[in-house]
Amino acid sequence: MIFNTNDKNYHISGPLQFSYPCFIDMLSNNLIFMYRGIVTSDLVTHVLQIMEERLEEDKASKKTSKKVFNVMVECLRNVYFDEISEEKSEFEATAILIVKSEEDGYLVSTGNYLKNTEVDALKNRLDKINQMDGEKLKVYYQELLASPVAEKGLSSLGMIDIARKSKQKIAYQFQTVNEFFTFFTLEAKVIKK
Amino acid sequence: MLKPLKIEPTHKTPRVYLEPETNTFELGGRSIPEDSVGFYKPILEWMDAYAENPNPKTEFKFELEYFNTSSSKNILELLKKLEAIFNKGNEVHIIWYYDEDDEDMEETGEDYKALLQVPLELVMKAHY
Amino acid sequence: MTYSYFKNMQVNNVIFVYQGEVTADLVSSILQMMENKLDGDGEDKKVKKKVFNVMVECLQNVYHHLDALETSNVSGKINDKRALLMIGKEDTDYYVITGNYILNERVNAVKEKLERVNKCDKEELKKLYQEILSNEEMSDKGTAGLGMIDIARKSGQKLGFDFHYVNEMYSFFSLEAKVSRVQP
Repeated sequence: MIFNTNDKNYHISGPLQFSYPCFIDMLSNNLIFMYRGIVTSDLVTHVLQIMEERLEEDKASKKTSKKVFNVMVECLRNVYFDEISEEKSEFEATAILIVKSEEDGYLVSTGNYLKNTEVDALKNRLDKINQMDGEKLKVYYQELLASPVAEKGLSSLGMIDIARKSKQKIAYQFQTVNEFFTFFTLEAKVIKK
Repeated sequence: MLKPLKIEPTHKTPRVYLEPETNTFELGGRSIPEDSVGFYKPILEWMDAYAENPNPKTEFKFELEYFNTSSSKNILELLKKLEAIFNKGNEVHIIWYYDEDDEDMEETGEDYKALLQVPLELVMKAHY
Repeated sequence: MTYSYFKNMQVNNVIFVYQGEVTADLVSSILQMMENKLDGDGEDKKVKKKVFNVMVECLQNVYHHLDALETSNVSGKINDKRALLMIGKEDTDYYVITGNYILNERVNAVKEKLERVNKCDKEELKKLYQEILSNEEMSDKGTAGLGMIDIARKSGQKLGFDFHYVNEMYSFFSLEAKVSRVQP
């Protein structure tokens, strides 16, 4: 689906041959942008800026823009590292960010590697939040705000925020890569108002 | 007396120290701004003012690490201003430093040398 | 969807791919990220410098070029600020690929320019560079002709390029510059 090289004019070899199909794929899937690589906080800032302008151009309502923006901030917090520390290898710092424009809203998706040992805890937290309705989320949010425990990466607070703002269940997926790592995908959709 | 021009370096723009009083004329670091014209404008204007009443001897040091082609035109403009001072009978000496293993910067220095009459000396900085 | 994109990108030793609108700030972040990455990889200083130089030129070229497109009267159908940036590392080379829309009427001129650059040897490129440097008018948009020659000189290899017809107005233009990981 991604690298559709049916085009007969195509006889360029090496990585250059992926340029056009990559681009066309992005267009046909309505991706506003896609980034795959090491994600730094600086990059996140500028990606957010681009998105903000884009939402303005799309004439999305203030409310929708704000929501999309917030959801992006929370989703992205999950994937960036300021520096590649020893615990976080380059491999782990490499992530993917996708923002897709859909007829009724925007889809924000991130993907990154996790240690297999972290999967269960994260899954439990996501499931817990996905079972809650708006009112319960609110209560839980306030409860967590008051609690002194700080969580690393995608915190429960961040998840609740995403869930509350998107008014949808958070879609996620875990894909085992090898005995050490799992690829974790998160998808949040904001419906246009 | 002309006020010195001091611009501190950023990760995209070079340090610029132009101080006639101490005979310091330096441009160094990286010059890769998107808007190089905007960056070089005050420098070129300063050079125009300096050219009206230059020191008897001007030694200008270029110590660039990186620069983009959009800066290259502006740097040529800057060099031409030095050339104009030289052509008026003042002593002008330009030193173009390049890193031992940076043949690209050496080549760029040669490019400028080929385009100018003012003395331009290429000096290699060795690693210690 | 997300995982399949991620996996596909791994095939070609891609360090990063970005598709979307390109801004000056974004280009800076990418350059900084790449510089850290090259440092972290302990790449040879000479190689590092060359890769960085070629990257700056290629990425800024796209950025300036897109700016130029924006000012022309275009249909609203295509978001003309969109581009593709891709950097990867193979066994022998680093490669920098950029892709962007180009007005059909400009395709031939750009193609000819590239073919001309690719035919030049080192000495000829040098001469061409000096010629353009001293003759071409200065503009705040940068000097695309000079940029191309600069990329070719620093890359030390032929430039790869590719044009695809998109519609009656636009083509998609990809440019590839390689830097050998073994510098003399």
